[in-house]
Amino acid sequence: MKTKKPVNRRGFVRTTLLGTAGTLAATGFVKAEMPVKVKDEKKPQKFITRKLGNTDMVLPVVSMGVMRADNPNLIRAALDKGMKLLDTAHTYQGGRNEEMLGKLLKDYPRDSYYIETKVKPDGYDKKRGTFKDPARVETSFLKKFNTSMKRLGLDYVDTLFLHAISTREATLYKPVLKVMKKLKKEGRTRYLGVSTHSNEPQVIQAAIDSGVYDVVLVAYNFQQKHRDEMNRAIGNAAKAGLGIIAMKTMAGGHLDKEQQQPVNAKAALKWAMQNPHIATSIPGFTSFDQLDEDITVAADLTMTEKEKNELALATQNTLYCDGCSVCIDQCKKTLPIPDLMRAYMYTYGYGETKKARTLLDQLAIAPDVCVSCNDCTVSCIKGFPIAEKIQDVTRLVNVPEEFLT
Amino acid sequence: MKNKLIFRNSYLSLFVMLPVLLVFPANVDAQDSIVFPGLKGYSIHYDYPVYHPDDLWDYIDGAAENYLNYHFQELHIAEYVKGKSRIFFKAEIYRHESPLYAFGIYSSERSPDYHFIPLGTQGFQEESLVYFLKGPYYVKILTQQSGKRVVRDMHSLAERLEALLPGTTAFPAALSLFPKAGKVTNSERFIARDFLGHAFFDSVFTAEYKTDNTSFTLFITRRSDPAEAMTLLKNLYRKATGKVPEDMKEGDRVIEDSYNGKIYLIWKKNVIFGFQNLENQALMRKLANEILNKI
Repeated sequence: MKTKKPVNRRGFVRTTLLGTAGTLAATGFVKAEMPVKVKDEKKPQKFITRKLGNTDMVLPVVSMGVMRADNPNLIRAALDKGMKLLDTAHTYQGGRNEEMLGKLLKDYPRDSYYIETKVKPDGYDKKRGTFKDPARVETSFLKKFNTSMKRLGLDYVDTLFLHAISTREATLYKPVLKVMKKLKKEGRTRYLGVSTHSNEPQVIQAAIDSGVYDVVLVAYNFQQKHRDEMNRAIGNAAKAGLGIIAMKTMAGGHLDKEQQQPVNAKAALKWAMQNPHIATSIPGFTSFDQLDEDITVAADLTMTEKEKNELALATQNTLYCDGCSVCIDQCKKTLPIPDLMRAYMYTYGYGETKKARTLLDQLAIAPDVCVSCNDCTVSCIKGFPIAEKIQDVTRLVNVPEEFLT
Repeated sequence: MKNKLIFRNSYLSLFVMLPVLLVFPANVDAQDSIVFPGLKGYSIHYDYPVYHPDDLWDYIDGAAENYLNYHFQELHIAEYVKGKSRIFFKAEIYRHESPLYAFGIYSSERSPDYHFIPLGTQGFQEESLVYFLKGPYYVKILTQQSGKRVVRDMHSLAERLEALLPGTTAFPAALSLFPKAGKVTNSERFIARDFLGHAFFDSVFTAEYKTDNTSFTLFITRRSDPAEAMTLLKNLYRKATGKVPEDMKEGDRVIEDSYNGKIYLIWKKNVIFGFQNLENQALMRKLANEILNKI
């Protein structure tokens, strides 16, 4: 892949600076201060790179999640500094994200960057993790993809993802695979992928079994307590030749709902990329400071003792359930324990009893559900006293709704 | 909309659990309970929970990031179904912290070439969607179907919701500062944070302009007082050039930002505005004077 830059913006700025300043002074526009010289351009740092599975993409360990960015200059800077992969999706900023990229990328040779986008067809039941109405799924997937390509102004993307899937069934849904394979065959995407941030190990295994997907984009962070299972799944995927890209490495960005305790983003990113099977990550930065920070991570993944300690402290949060779902099969009644832990967090962590009650009602859980078991067979990998917590939170079911907050 | 004041009273503390009171945040706000209006021939289904900032990801995945930037508060969803699921659409009501932030998210998703409709503050309608803004609410009505009938019914629902939802129908007052000549209609935006990629540069209005041979961006930010405006400028100098001029006075200036190129800036009182990608000095002066006269 060529890496030449199509537009040397800073060089242009330097050569035109003096002339412009003269013009401004002559017209009287610049009165208070004269222009200040441009900062010296830093030399690009040498990045740690990894190959993305069996694809031909070799990527710096940090790439750009464009999702929130609305300043094209930030993306230019990321590319100028050596980032190669840009991640967007059909839905980001209602489509404006892809449009912005489309305008920007006209200035760049197609072989100077990689781009991936994500599409979720209509007819996906998020609660059940299943698709319905095959014809609609296929048609809408194609329609959305075509819209994305029009916005991007490209003939092809490097990877097209089935967006935000949480079950094996959906990952292997034939109408989707059919249309995705067709698009790959037509050369409109070079590779196929699936993205997931829930029930990830199951989705990863399905991606391996499919024989269709080349890449998995997966939530991976220091807060996940089903880490062993995640690492196993990622290891298996790597062994099968799938490329792995990490997202949500900051685990939400804050440790508390009030957003008073920020996650050490640099440490969290370094932590994620310690896994050698993960080729790259896509933090969604919006400022040049964040870009510069991520650039330093791409050049050096060594974690300081301070960074390790900060992440260790952060994992001591006792309310957040990672949803690993290991507990469900352990429970004699196969209760939806992760959902119940969420209700518990809403109640005890956030004081949102109404929200917790809504969830309990949806789950149709009786307040005495745990009472009839003499011994709880569940052993939470995070050490939660499951039965105790369920007994506490399910009492909300008997509280009249008007008293809930 | 039917507002329900939700009270926490002694019943909860006595019968549910004492520990809850010990860990409840002291400032739990009363929340609105949205009652979706009926629509002839349709049944309403509430299969989704009310989403909040901590779980919006569960519903719209990575797109949630942009909503959180604009102080998203809660999302109410209802599905309207006619017959045996032959016609259906979904209504999503996003409530943000203020009308300003609602405008911010709305404007980040609209495109000047959309088909705009006079609904609430403003709305737009495309083949399978009707979106509108009103007060702190950004309402989306979407379908996965096509046909005039479903679009007509969606529009009918949009009108009913618009009538029920409270809030201003006016655009943010700051938009009136933008000169009209050359402005691309409906290109105005409100950027909540990280304008120009700088973490200290927040709360900025922008608009796109097109003349015969050039396209450029005009941006305006109003700070709380002149001192804060000066602080913003100093931060910009520091970040963009590495040094801050000693004697900062109101007036015009150009800063060479190593990332964003030339930024032309005018500072008056607590307002700073500027131009990107505009080299025509006469046009710049004309537009600047027009804005200065309004400050």
